[in-house]
Amino acid sequence: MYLIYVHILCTRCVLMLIVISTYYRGWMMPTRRSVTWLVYLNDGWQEEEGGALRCFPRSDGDRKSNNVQVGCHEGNLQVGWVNDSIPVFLDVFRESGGAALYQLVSSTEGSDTSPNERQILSVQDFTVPGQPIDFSVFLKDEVKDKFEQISTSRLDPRFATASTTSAAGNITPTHDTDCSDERTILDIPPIGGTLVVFDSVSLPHLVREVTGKRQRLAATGWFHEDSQFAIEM
Amino acid sequence: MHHLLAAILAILVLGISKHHVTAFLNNRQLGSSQKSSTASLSDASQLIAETNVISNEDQDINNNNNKQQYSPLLSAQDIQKISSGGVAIIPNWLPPNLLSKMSYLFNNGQFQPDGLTNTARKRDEQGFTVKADRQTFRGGAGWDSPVGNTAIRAEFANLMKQLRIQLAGELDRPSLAIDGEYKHEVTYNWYEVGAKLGRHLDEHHEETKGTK
Repeated sequence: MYLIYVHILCTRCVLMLIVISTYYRGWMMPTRRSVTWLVYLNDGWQEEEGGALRCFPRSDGDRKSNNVQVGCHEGNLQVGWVNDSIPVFLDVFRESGGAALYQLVSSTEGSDTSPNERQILSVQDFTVPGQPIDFSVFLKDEVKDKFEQISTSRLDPRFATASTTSAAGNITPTHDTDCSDERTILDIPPIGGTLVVFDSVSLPHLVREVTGKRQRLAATGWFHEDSQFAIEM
Repeated sequence: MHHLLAAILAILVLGISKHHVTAFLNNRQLGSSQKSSTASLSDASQLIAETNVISNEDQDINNNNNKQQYSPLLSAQDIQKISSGGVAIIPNWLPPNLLSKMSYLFNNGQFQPDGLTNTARKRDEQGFTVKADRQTFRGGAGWDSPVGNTAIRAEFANLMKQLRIQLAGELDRPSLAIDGEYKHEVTYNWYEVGAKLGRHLDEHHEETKGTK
């Protein structure tokens, strides 16, 4: 009787693993943010009133692009750049069960067509570690120095951790709120009627302090696209 | 993970339906937005849940609008900038009549503040102050709230829909064009004098979110 019970339990465990692997890989939500938009609503806003949207873009700088669209490739989101302007994507659905970092290159050298062939940049497939994540440790030596990680939720100073909480319980982010040491900075004053649009995954940004005498108003939003392998039941 | 195991166990042992488990996971997801370390996901789920962008009636209209052809609202240069990691900036894009009328809610004191300093922590642990952070309009209702000028908001929503459809085609992101219950967040936000927002991304790879 005991053996039968153990057998049933083992069978259930196997079934559970199958169901978990079948149903619980992928994104927690069926859609994700794809494009960010902002429309400013303050009529006659002046630069000295502050509140500029400070962005850290790639294409606005003096850099060469390889014509690969930023943000996402076949559902794999971008996590960094190589050579300042070439997107690096993270694929966590490899046949090995592990993850890999890759860029896109042209299948034919000298071809004018958009790059569409994956070039793996990581040494071997890996398991994505817990936060804080440093993807550079998984890269081949010749790429490490050329790689720049965009961000992760825990590297994002907006999401202060307990270590940045004061004794009084107030959050005290330790980051430089201007990030003035970044190489490419684009400040956009929130002048009424202006539309701003950018990719939600690849563009870090912040809002500078409002220094005038009135509130800064905007309508903002995120257009969603389907997530990769959304969880299904 | 133990939530997931519990859900699977419930299916196998108790025979709970898919519907129940899906509801359980959805509730867990929304609940976790108050306490997890998930970055934009918690932000997103919070805003999605609290900002119903399109009512069912509007959705029927929008589904019909999907079949319409819109004039492009962004230039080819704008699309190229977005595609390559830059920023499209179009001054004087919003018609002046919309610009003046959309401030109606704020000017009439209808906005309700919302703390979004740090979605990795509970709201009462965020250290939120109106003088230091962005505030968001939700007011217990959504974008289609009867509060304020609903006609103006509908006009604006239609304009943004045209923009979305253009982006779906020209960025080759076809699912952008689809309407749905949990898509396309939209909100008002405002900053008091002295307020700011730290460097961040609006979306992250799922594998880089939260605590493992």
